[in-house]
Amino acid sequence: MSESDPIDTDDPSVLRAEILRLRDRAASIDARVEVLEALIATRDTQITEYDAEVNRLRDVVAQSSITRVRQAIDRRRS
Amino acid sequence: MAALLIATDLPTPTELESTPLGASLNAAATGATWTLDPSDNGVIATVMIDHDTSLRPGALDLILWTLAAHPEVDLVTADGCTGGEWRLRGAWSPTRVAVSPDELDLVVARGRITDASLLGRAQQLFAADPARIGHLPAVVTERAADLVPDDSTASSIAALLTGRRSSPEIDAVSIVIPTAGFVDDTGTPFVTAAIGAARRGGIARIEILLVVGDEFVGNAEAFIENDVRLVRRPSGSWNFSAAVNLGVLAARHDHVLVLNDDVEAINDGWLATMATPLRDPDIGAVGALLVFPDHTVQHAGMVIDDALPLHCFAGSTLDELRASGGYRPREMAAVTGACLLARRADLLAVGGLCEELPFNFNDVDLCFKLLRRGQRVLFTPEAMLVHHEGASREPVTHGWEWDRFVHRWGHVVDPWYHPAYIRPDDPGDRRRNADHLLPAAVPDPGKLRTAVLHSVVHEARLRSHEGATVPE
Repeated sequence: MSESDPIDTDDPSVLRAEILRLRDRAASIDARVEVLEALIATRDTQITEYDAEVNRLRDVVAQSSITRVRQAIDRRRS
Repeated sequence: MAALLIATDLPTPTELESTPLGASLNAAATGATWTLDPSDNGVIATVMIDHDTSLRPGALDLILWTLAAHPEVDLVTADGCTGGEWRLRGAWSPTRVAVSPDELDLVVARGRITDASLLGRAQQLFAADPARIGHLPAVVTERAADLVPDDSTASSIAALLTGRRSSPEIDAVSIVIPTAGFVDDTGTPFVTAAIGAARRGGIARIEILLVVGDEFVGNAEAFIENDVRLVRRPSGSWNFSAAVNLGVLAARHDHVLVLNDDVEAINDGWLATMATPLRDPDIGAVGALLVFPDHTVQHAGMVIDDALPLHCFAGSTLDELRASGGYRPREMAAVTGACLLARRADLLAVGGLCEELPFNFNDVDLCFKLLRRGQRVLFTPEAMLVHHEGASREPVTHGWEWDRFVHRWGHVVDPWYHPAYIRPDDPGDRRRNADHLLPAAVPDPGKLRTAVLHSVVHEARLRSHEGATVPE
């Protein structure tokens, strides 16, 4: 048993102060959820943008002359 | 083709034709995708405007586009230009409109509205859900002079606000003053003047709770009187929030004033002035106008600029404050905890002041918690006190405090702070907030804003959001 844990106190004033702190923490968590949801939305948008860019670059590479040369070499080897 | 109803204070379309509004409507109607024919039953919006106000080019298209793009709002207000000066406004603020009805120069409502008088516009707005009133930050109207309602209209609009006050007059307040007992140049403890200020507040029954700790300079017991009690705080490092919370818990009255120990009263009755709007159950906190000893502004409300809470108009003279519109009572994102009145029940419900913010931003944090409950935060300039800011504590803000604040709230978009304002980047400038420093060009239309607080990601502090740099 921890002596510093407010749950073990017999002093009502300590318990009231602890209830206040927990209510503040609950309000803080609500706000934090909104921030994290905004962060997730931002990250989702970034991932979508990155995916689109990766696909675009993949197409560029696929159509580049060096890719065609490599494909020709691969065909000769096989 | 969509139909618009232009509702003005003139009875006939013929009379309207020769007015500034008539001319601007004719210009706007050329090549438009809407018609001004009000006989059409398919009216999608009513534009309530005065005959001597003109619409800037493109204004109607912009407003219609805004209504179409935002089905979540029913009413739209916007910015205007009067006598060549921009009137940039915040989100819906019933208190401000009640004292400055000129903000009703343009109100656009979804659908057909019949009463376009100033009072009719005010009634529409006051009756609406604040979340459904949008403010478009764009200068869309022009007038030669401010709209001045007649006395009966002005008093009727003020009565709309007063009508919201359903609780009885507040005649008892607990005043919580955390103090370390520091003294001024004459050797007099600062808190002596603060106690005097509390007694001059004009409230019949007060109890003054001095929250003191081991660091108190002198004999705290000497302050005990009929209306003064001591609340002892446990030993440990100074934490303003924890000290206030102790006082709130010990308070016996239903209303609590949080007061710094380095303030002094200028006039009698200032606390009663602050208490009046709190009779409206939708008001969560009320702040005062605080001035430095030279009577320049220390606090006239707070705005959130790029996630940073700032005292607006700080350093201005009172004349400058009046001239720039800052002297009006109005809804804001936050008021300072140096002098903040609230209901004890509300303070307890939101957990009091955040003890993880021991010195700074705890007041802003409290106001945000109240706003998120759907309550409003009000600044009342009629209640004015001198604040010897920093006399009891060095006014320093540490980086970790802002980190912790941003970690908690993210980048809060302040709906009452116009996005066109520009803040000088000099942290040493007392007038850091640019509430009175308008942009050099007509601001571009910004996003529609409602009187609701939203948190978004603060990119520059993304690491803080992810908890990498925030001390727990």
